[in-house]
Amino acid sequence: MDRPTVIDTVKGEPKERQRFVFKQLLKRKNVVDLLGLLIPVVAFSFAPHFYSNEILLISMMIYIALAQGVNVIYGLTGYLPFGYVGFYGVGAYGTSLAILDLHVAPEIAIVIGGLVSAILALVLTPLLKLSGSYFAIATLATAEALYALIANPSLKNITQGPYGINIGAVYSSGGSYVVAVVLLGLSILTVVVIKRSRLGLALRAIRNDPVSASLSGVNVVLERTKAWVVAAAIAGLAGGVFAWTITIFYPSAVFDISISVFAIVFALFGGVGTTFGPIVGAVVLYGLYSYIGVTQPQYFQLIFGVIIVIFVLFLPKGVAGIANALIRRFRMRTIREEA
Amino acid sequence: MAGYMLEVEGVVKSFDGFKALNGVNLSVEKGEIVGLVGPNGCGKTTLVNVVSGIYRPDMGKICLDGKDITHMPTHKRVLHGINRTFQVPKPLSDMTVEENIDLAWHFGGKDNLARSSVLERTNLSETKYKVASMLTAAQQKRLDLARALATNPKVLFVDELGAGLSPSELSDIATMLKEIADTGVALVVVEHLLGFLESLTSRVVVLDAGKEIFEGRLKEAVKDERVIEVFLGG
Repeated sequence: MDRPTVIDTVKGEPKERQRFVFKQLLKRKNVVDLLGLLIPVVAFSFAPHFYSNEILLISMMIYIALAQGVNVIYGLTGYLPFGYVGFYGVGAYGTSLAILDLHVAPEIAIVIGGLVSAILALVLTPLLKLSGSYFAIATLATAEALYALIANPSLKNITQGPYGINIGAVYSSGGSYVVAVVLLGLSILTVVVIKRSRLGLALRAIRNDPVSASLSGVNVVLERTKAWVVAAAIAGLAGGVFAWTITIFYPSAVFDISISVFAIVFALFGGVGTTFGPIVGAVVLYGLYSYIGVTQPQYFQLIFGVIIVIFVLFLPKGVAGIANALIRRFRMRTIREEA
Repeated sequence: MAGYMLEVEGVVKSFDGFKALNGVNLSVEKGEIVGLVGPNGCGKTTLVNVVSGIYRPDMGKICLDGKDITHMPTHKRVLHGINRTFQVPKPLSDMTVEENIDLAWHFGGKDNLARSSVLERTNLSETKYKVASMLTAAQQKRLDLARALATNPKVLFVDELGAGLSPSELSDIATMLKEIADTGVALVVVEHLLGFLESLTSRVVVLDAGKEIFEGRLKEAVKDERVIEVFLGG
């Protein structure tokens, strides 16, 4: 039996009505994506005029970018990357070492950090052969291994080992803020572009059913790898922005597993697969975290754990999913009343 | 053996010691409709899986239009012209019918004629904007077929398309398949419904225990002693 869809409930010439509804949906999609890009970029561009804690604003932008990275790899391909922080840490180190050893400008160093993470992701593509929790655990182990490697005292001459990085000489609060806004815009734009591209179509198909996707001619391994590398590059850039903002840090600060957890929770809470979801998730939850979580972190970890479980099990589409369902219900009602 | 569109030679496939395919051979000509029959568990679907690249064969050779595709991954086989449908249809269920077809056309086909006519040929034009999971079982089967057609195949395996369909739906499907074969596509139809096969195929291949035991017209197959033994248990 056919269940009625929105289209079925619309009266009038079926084909014309179908086209009409379809066009309306397309328009709404355009508007949502455009707002999803413009609102955060504009808001964060002007935020320092109203709120003086720039470090917090930059952290929030970094988390939005990381949440969008999780959106690409989890929301579009279904891989949950608990070790996502590995790319962040490598990006932070790539950036810092480029500044210290290659003496390039911080902006260029951050791009190098992103590239290093992307290359690392290419090296790690065999991980994509795993699925489900195996993938999550394997990426976690990989991140820990990277941490152990970079923080190793015998690599002191290269990475400064456990003694941390100091790039205080290039500190520039205004400069790192601008770069963070660029990162924010770039990460959102990436999601918008991927969702609308052939890659996005292929990734959706793969998430639906990899076998059917490959029988449609989709190279499942290649398309997944693209998403994986893009997500890694975003994390690498984010790590670079963090490095330039903070300038002095220990390896444990950029390989902290809770960074992965935060990014995943923010993305899940807001709703993966959407443009707005990870932004809302990061702003709301990170805001809340900064407000009370810093003083009582133990409760926050508990709350975040519960949020992961609830959202993965019961609300895989997050806040955005709930919002979409409400909007759809409202639209159906107005369409019915019109008819 | 020149002139065959698809040639399967001595293909073996085992699962944990159980030989699902035991040196099976199959050849199909351009535009031909071949029936593939046999009792449950004889390896029909395994053969389809091996030819479409879902499984890799342990031994043997698969050639498509003279090109060895034995070791190609599925998506490359699709680009070379192999496709299939599933016994239990596997549409991309969160996507609309149109998106299902678009994907296959973009990645597997790139043939303008195929794309515009696929929905009409499979009688799915009315459901274009519907999400695939909302379709009836019969529509989903046709969507599987449409997805395969959008990749412009040379050889198409149709796995139990008829099961569970009403007589009128069956005759629609038969007409549809004949039209597809008329465009030069080689069809291999896996089916239990012998009446359906009789109306459709020029010859059938009977499989048992992973090997072909008869090849010829269906009318003769039902008189063949080994075939009778296999189906009726001797």
